[in-house]
Amino acid sequence: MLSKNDKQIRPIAFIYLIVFVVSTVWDLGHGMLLSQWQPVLLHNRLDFTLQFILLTGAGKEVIQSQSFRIILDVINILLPFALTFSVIRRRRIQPALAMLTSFFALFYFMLICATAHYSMETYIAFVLLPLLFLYRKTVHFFLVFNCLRIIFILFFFSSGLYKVLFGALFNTEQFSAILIQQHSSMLTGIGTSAYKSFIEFWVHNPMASWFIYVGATFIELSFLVGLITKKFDRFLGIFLCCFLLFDYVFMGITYIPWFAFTALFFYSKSVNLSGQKICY
Amino acid sequence: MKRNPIFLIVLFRNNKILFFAFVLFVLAFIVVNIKRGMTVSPLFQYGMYSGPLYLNDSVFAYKFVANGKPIDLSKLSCVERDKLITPIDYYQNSAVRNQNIFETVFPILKNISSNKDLILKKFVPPLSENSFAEWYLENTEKIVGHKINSLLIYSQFYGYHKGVYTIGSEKKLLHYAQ
Repeated sequence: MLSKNDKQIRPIAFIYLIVFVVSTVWDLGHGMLLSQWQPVLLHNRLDFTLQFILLTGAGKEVIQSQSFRIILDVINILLPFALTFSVIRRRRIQPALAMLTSFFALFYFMLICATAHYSMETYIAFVLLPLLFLYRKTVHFFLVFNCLRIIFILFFFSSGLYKVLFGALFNTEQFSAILIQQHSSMLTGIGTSAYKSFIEFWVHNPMASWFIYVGATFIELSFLVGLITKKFDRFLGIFLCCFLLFDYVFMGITYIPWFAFTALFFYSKSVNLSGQKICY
Repeated sequence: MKRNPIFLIVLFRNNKILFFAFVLFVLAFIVVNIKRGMTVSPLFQYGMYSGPLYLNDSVFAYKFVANGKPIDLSKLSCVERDKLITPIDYYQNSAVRNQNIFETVFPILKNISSNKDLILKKFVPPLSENSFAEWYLENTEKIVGHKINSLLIYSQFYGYHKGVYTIGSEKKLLHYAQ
């Protein structure tokens, strides 16, 4: 008979796969798979991991070889399917696939982020979440689940903390000024559209937009409560969804992969250690 | 009254490798965020737009003129705008930036391979202006949905005051014609 955690592994694996598929279809629709984008230049960033990836010659190869790009795209799409299948069928290869999928996602998305407008922070979900399936034993799934939940809380909370420490939260012009910088070429250019008018409204009303910024920061900071208790995890999951939607609407930043992180909050109460209560 | 066990202790008792990996990851994340320089993916600094910005800050923008007419960016999706703007941004800065990063990291990388020229080719792949122009025109044609015979790209600085953007300076960056 399956334990409670075993029953939760499958829906979590499905959520991971569904989010991956949606994200990939989105990229495919926007011509942003490596083989579609066919980049010609490389934009390095001060990231130690990226230096090692470039040292392998993969960056140069991505720019020069279409067959290499196709191979990377295909592997990147196949691995999450293979991993989810192995989780559902409880295959022995599951831990190895989990590790491989995680490392390959790091490799693939770092390369695409070094050649396109994407930022690696967006794709971190596809690097970390395969690690959920690193172990086949229920108790270890529980442990990894909670480790990743805490790690995500630290990531998200730190973002809010930065806004407090650097003083941006207390600046009432902050969000209007951010919107100007984020959409500068559209706002200063010709033409009108519903979206441009929407952004202009928030630019011209700094106090109203500041409240949005304060609300977003509140959401980020509120995740700290997740280190103490899981009681509010459903709310945190909903908060996260709202935050990601608002990020897209206001900033035009697509954080689709992060929707997979919501599983860490929507399922946190049902993933437990044989019903034992644990302090966080 | 019986106290509930703490998660870290449960983790340590059940899986010591995972315990040390987790503690190391969290400590590394804290160090990366305190040092605030180079990141080590998947450890990042999530501090974007956390420094104070003001409405009277100088605004940097691009203007694209295709076949003599400015491209209406408001009609494009956010992704399409990014696809138009980011490559120009990268093209303007990548050569110098890649070289600088290479010079910064080479002292570390030389322990792995001391052949500087070989590594340099991997870090700063050669890019001719023609190949970028050809690629960028094709990219822009896909976005705007029509053939482009000439494309002018300007960088601009604006000032903002009470809903009005006033241009401070404009510089022609690139001119492609086919």
